[in-house]
Amino acid sequence: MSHIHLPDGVIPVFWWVVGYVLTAAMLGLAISRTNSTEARRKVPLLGIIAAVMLIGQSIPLGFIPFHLGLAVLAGIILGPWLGFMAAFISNMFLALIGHGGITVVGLNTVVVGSEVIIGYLLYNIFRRATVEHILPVILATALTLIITIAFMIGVVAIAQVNPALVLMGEDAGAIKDSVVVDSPVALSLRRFVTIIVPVAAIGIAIEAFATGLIVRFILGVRPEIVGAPARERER
Amino acid sequence: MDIAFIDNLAYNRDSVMHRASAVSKVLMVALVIAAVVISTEVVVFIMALAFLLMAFLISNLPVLRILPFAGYALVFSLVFAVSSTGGGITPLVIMLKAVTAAVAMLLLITTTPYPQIFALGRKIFPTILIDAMLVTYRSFFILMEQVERVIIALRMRGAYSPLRVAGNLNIMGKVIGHGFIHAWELSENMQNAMLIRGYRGGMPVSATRKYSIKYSLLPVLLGASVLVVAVFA
Repeated sequence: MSHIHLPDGVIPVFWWVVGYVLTAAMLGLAISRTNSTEARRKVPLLGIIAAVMLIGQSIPLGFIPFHLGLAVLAGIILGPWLGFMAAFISNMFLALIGHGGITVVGLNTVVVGSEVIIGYLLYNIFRRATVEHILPVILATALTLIITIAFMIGVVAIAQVNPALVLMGEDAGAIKDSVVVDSPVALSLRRFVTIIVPVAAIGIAIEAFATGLIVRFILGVRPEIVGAPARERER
Repeated sequence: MDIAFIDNLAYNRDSVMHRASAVSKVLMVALVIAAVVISTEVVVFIMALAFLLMAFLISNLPVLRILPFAGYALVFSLVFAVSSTGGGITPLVIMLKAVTAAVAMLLLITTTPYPQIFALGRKIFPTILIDAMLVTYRSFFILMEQVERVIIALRMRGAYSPLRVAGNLNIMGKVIGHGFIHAWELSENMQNAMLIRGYRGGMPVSATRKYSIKYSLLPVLLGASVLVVAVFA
C-alpha cells in the first residue's frame, strides 16, 4: 500500500537511478540467498503470489479510493528474499500499465520490498511472543505500513532536494553550476503529507484487518501456507 | 486495471505498430521517457502527445477506451502537482509529463504482447525473474477469472455493497484468502508439471507474428523525433 504512484519525469534522475541501483543490489542478494534448485522449484509460487498481489491491487474496497497491497502477506508466505522478487515483479507490471512510472519502479521496489522484509521480520518476532496467529499478523502489518509510509514520504521529500546539497552540504554551491542535478519540483512537503496521511491512516487500518482476515481464512483451510502447524486446522 | 483487455488488443489486432518489433517499441518508450525527464516545455509534451495519438490512430486501436488508462497517471500526478510550490515547473507540466509517459507505455503494451516484452528482459534480468513474470502473466488471468466469478456470485446474493466497508472487508478477506489457497494449489500443480517437462530454468517465448524491420522504423522515428524536439525546444 506504500506504493509510490509517482509518474515519470517528476523524481530527479539521480534518485530514480539510486532506486534502480538499490533494487539491483537487493535482487542480486535475494537471488544469491536462494539456491538455484530451490529457486527453480519456487518459480511458480513466486509468479503466482505476484499475480495475487496484482489482483489485490485491482479490487477497490467500496467508496474509499483504496486497494490492498498484500506485501506483508507475500513476505509471510514467501519469506523476505522471494517476497522482494514478488514486489519487483508486481511493480514492473503496474508500471507497464501506467500505474506509477517506469522510472519509479526501482524506488517502488525498494519501498514495497522493505514492506515485505520488515513485515516478515515483525511477524516472526510477534509470533514468538504469542500462540495467537491473527494478532501478530494485524500488528506486523500495521507497524510495517507505518514504517514504510514514513519511508515513502521520506523518499518523496529527499527526492525534491538537490542531491548535491544532500551529499555535500554547503560545498554544493561550488558545483551547482557544473552539475545538472537540480530538482524539477520544489515540493511543499507539509501539503503533500496533509494529503497523504489521512488516506494512509484509513489504508493502514483496512490493510491490517484485511490481512488478518485473509490469514484467518487460510488458517482454517491450509494452515501450512502461513507456516502454521497442521493441528491449527482442528481449532 | 484491465490487463485482459490490453492483452487482447496486443494479440488480436493488426496494424503497422503491431508489426513493428518489440525492441523498436521499447526503444520508442525509452526515448519518449528521456524527453519527459529532460524537458519542462509544455509545447514538447503537446507535440509528443500528438505524435503518440497519431500512432494510436494508425494502430487500429479503440483510442477512447484506452486513453482513460492514462487517468491513473493523471490522478496521481495531481496530488504531486497540488503539492508543488513552483521551482521552475508548473503543475500543468507535471501532469503533462505523467500523461505523456503513460500514453507512450500504453502504446507499447496495446501493440506488443507482454511475453515479448519480458523476453527482451532476458538480456538484463536473471532467468528466475523473467520466468516468474511469465508465470505471473499466465496465472493473473486464471486467478482473476476465478475472483470475478466469486465477486459476481457475491453481488447476486447481495453480499457486496459499496457503502459497507467493514462487510466488504470481511468478504474480501475470504475471497482473497480463497484466492491464495487456489493460487497455492495452482503453483503446486504448475511446479509438478514443469518438473515433469524437464524445466531447468528459462521458459521459451515464441513470437506470435513475424516482425518487419520496415515497420520497426516507425516507432524509433517517433521516439527520436520527440527526443530531438525536447533537446532543442
